[in-house]
Amino acid sequence: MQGLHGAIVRISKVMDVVGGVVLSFMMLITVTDVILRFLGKPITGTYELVFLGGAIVIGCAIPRTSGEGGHVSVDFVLESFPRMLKKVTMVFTRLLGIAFFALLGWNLFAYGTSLYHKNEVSLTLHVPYYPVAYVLGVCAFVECLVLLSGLIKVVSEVDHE
Amino acid sequence: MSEVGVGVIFLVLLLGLFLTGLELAFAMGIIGVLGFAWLVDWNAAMGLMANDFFDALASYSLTVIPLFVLMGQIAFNAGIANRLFDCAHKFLGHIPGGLAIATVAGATAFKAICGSVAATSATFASVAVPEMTKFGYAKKLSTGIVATVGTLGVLIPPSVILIIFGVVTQQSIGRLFLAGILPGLLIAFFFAVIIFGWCRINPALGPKSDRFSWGERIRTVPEVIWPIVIFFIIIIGLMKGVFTPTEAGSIGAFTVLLLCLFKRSLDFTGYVKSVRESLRTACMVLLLVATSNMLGHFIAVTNVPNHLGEWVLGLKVPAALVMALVFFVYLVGGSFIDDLAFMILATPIFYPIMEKLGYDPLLIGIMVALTVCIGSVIPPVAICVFVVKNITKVPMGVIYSGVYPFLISLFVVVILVFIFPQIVLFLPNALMK
Repeated sequence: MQGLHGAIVRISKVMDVVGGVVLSFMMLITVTDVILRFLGKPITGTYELVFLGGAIVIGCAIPRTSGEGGHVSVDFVLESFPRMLKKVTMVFTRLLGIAFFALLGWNLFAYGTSLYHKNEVSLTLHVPYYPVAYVLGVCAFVECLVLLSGLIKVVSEVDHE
Repeated sequence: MSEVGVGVIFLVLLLGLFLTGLELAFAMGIIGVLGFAWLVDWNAAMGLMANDFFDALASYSLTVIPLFVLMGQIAFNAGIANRLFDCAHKFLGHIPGGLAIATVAGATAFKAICGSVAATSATFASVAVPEMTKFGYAKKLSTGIVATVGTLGVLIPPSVILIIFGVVTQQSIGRLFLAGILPGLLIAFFFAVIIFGWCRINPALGPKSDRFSWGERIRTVPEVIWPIVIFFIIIIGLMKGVFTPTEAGSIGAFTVLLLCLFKRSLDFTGYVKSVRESLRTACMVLLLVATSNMLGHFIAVTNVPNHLGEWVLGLKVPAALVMALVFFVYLVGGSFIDDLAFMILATPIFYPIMEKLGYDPLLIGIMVALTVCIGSVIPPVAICVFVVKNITKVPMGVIYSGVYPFLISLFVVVILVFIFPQIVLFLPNALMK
């Protein structure tokens, strides 16, 4: 189980690096575009690259944010539960999370395929949208793995006790 | 069962899910999708789920959030706040409660480049509290002001709360930024007056510290000028329509980065840390926005906002009372759930009602932001107080006893803004039509 957990953490970290690089790229290309615009030579399609980049940034950050408990939740009620009820509730919420992201990932792939068939592209650079939908789908499935790792941890703690 | 009935049941279920400790964003997505599937169709709900998620994340207007957060994180990790506090300390330290007033002045300047409420409280808890302790300040004053001063970030631009309000209600982010400036400065002014008055009544709370020569004071001024110049570049650029909010965020982040590299206050590791922390905050916020879109579509199908609006407008009670009740709901909801999450959840429901009552969208935005300010320092979920407690190890009770006097000024500003909306509307109307 440690191996599985370690692998999921490594994948999340790699995705986080991708998100960070894309965020830095978004900052640099926007600044360059603004400067060049004053010189009368804006970078064509910056708008499209930035919003598509934004999707990759946030999508790639989801698994690590989840792994580090960064998504906001209300825990003062859960903390007041008896130990066993707390663990049962945690198993329930992890399962709900897995189901949600599995459905989301599946539907993002379906959405990506429909974008591919409709040949949906950006206005200026004609960047196809479907790869971004597929990347977000992959992010959702990795998030499932992160939640699964959390679930295994909770269950093994129950067994241990 | 009627659509409204289904809507109410699913919203109650949503609150139940919140209490199980499930991430708020996940809960909103799950209820939104299940509710939509119940009322419309399972396949439509599945399509909507992917569509809403893709549209929210691949949205140009929302890319402003990671960029402004990055700007704040770079400023935070480069220790810009330390230098701002040092400058304010040298100018104000010798008056009663001077170091606490310097904390307010330093934090106000820091807020101009860092929109994070918790980061400001964390920074000044590490920088200002030890200095105040050295000069014999009472813990309740030093920790109370540090916990409260973070709230300025909700109003003084670039504020993440105002950006999200602007996106949710389709208001100009530039005008919202301008609208937040005067109320933010007014709060800072009231904080300073309260500290001064409190320390005049009880000098033991905040003794005078060293008096510095004018030469020593002037030498610290350049440290303050640059962040303020960056702030004005952003605001004037937005005001004049020279660049979009996303471009303003990029330019802000880039110029703060250049400034820190030039001053050698940030290395590559510091930059990586800033990016990593920005991703955490931006991801948390945008996932809430994405899943609230799913919930929003379900709520729209239930017609709950329309029915609620008609019911409230049919009550024939004064509009001010309705507003007071709505903000009370924001305060209670935000206190128990999370201020940001509750704002994202509640604004699509309450905003149309407040607008129908004839209130200006900018005024509504600032009132919502002020409510979030108050929510971030009152129990049970007082993020700023928790941050200060963790850093200073001062008991919560002591911190709260120092927070309450400043809370009064927040309530006073809420009332002033409500009675005199010009405090909010003057700058946007004068500078940005």
